[in-house]
Formats: sequence, structure tokens, C-alpha cells
Amino acid sequence: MRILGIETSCDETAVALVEGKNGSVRELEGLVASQIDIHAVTGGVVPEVAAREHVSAIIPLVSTLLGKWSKRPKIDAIAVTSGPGLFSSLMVGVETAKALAFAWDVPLVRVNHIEGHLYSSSINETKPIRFPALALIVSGGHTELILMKGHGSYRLIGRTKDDAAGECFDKTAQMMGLGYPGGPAVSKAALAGDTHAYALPRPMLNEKNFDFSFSGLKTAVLYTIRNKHLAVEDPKGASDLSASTQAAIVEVLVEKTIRAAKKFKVKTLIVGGGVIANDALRAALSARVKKDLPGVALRLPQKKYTTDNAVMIAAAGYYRFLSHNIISPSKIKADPNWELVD
Amino acid sequence: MNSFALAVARTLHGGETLALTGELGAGKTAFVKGLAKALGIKQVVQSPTFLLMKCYPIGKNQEPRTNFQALCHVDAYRIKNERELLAIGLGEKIGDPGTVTAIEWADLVPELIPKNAIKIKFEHGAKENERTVTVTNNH
Repeated sequence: MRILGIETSCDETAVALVEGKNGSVRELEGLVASQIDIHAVTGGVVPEVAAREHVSAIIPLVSTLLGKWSKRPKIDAIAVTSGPGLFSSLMVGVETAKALAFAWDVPLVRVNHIEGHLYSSSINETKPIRFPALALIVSGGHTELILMKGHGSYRLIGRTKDDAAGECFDKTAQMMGLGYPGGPAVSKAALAGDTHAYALPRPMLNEKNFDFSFSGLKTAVLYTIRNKHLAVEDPKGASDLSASTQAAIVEVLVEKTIRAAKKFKVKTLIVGGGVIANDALRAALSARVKKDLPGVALRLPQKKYTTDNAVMIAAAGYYRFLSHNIISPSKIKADPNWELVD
Repeated sequence: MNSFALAVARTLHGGETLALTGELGAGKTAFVKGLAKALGIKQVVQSPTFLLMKCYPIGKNQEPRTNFQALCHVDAYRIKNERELLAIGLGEKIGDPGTVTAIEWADLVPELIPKNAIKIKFEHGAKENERTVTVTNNH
């Protein structure tokens, strides 16, 4: 079946078409408004607040997507992110999806944004997920550990108590004069740095739960800069501090994830979200899974699916259809605080 | 920070804007976490930097009883233009008697801050766990 995915939960307006067949999903085409020439698509109407101008971007984006085929492709269903996120942003996607589902007379399914990240590693992947599975979702806005007993069965076992891991990368990058957003900048600067140069805390690492905290690490980086009189324009200092910061973030994420995977005896470890584009985290997870979790399959998304996109929403929608995990379109509403639970 | 937040929570009637300022790590989010706790909000209050605005409902029968129904936690850190916050609906929250709005990095959006806002400035102290908090109330 062909599914149109729509994602507007925060900054990005994104649409995609996927083909779901025999239990797996293949991307046919995916578009993200910020990555294409939106001026050309909307006829030049791009206000300064373009980042969240979903209203002006969504319909032209759907037309552009469907225009990629000489004959309009048949669409069997629509999947839309209805939460969590920013209410005003979510509403644009949800109402557009409802209108299209009504006009085309096709079923509509709601998808949780976190669930989208969770299925991002299943795009263009024919191997099925073996359950139980543990998912680490780690991005600029989220840091969560979710246990899955099957498709559509979710249990939140841990989350950040304050800042998300991606936010810690971004804000420490700002302190080091590397700009915002700074995840990729920190990871680049870290390449030449010494991970042991500065002693930074590993927040909540020794607590017997699966929660995270990154706010204290951010403050520790600030104190390091202040106490050691590090100049932001000193490349060696920024490199070493980047490497030390990244090592702290990666260690906490990896340790707690591996510990949870062992405790719940999972067969698959799934990772999703913008922070899994970070090579140090990818390498550390791969090494630890090999060493400590023999037989466990590690599913990492392709880098292009790590940031917010609609391909992952359509993919998650496909699995919701497979398990008949659907509610009436009239009941689908933008829900900014939607918690992904059973 | 929690006892300070509790003291602030006790003065709120609804419709107030709390304009929070201070550098990274100064305690703005920690203060709002404490405020939410003092208002009986059970949800985990996470940093709103990425989502820009998070609103937490306050139940009618929730303890302690309040005259308002929501706490909205806003963050101007990553926006480029004040209008971005109006575009996401902040204009309807500020001054709404059913809502208390706490805005982090309020100094970045001076035109959105009402004159009667309660201004709270957070500063790092001499010691690492020390913070200096200055409250200015023009009510």
C-alpha cells in the first residue's frame, strides 16, 4: 500500500510517499521544506518566520511531491504526526491530512512523532524487528528510552529530566563559540581533541533508573570555560572541551541504554533522532552492542532520516495500519502533550 | 531554587507574565520546574528550547487550588524574530487570566514583555551551586 506521510510538529514542514509491502517500507519520495527551494514552490511568499510557516508550505509541498510522477500516484492512506510538538504547528499538518483524506476518500492514521523516529531505521530495511526491542530516541527536543513488546506496544522506561542530549550539544557549542545549532560543530571540533582533557560529570550514570539529565553537564562546561579561562577563539581548547563534552554525553547515553537492554533482555536495539547522526555515538553503540549484547540486532537509521522528516511518519503509519491501531479521523486532533504509551 | 519558586507560586493569581533572564545554566529552567511542582503539576517539565512553548494544564481539583488553569513555559533562546513567538500563539497566552506565562530569555524579546511583567534575573554566584536572583515587580 502507498502511504502519504505529513510531519509538521515543530520547525520542519515535510511530506513523503512510501510503499509498504510484506511488512517492510520503502521510500518512494520525501521532501522537507527547509531543504528545497521553497521560494519557487510557494511563488516567493516566504516571510521571515519561514521556519514554522507550515501553512504557506504544506499544500505546495504536497503538489510538488505528487508532481514527481507523470501520472498522479494512487494513494491508499495518509499518516500524520498529531503530537507531541507545538500546537500551532501540529494543527496545520493534522487539518491538512484530514481534508486530503476526506477529499480522496482514503483512511487516515495518526502517528506519534517519537514513533516516527523509532521507525526511521526500518525505512528501506527488509529485516523485521525482533521483539522485545528497546528504542533510544535522542534529538534536540527528546531523550527517551522506550520498550517495545511488538508493533504499537510502547512503554516509556526513561527520559531526560531537563535538557535533551541534542540541546546539550547545541548549548555547549554556543558556549565554546561554535555557533548554534552546534551538534555537528562539536562533533567536528572533537575529532582533533582529547576526550580526557577536562573532567566532566556523567549525570545520573550511577542512579538505578533509566532517566537522563544534561542540564548539569551544560553548566559544568560553562564553569570549565570560566575557571580555566578558556578563550573561545582558542582552537585547541575548543577541540579538547568538545571531545570531553561529547565523550560525557555519549558515555551516559550508551551506558544507560546497554544497561536497559540487558535488564529487559531485548533482541533488538533501535536508535532514532538527530543525535544519532553523531559518529562517535554510532561507533560507541556499535562497539558496545558487539561486546556486551551478543545476538542483539542494532538498528541505526540512515543519516538522512535522523532529522525530522515525513518518510519516518509514513513508515510508522504503515505499521499502525498493519496492526489496525487506528482511530476515527474525527477523533484525530493535534495533541502537543501526547505521550507514547500503550 | 525550589523554595524560591514556591514563594513566587504563592503570589500568582493568573494572567501574570514572568520575564526570566540570565545566562546558560543560571537556573531559569530549574526555576520553572520548581514553579510547576509548587503548582501541583505532575508532568516532567523539560527545557522548552526546541519546542519554543510548552503548556501544562492545572486541574480544577488539583492541590494547591489556583485561579488559573495553565502554566505556559516559553523559550526565546533560538528564535530570530519576536514575531516567531506570536506566530505560535504566544499573544493569546500573555495576560490571559487563565494562564501564567514564564518566558526564558525574555531580554531577547523585549517588545513581547508587558510592562507589568514580574522580572526575575538569575546570576551565577561565586561558588558553583550558588545563584543570585533579583525580582523586579512593577505591579
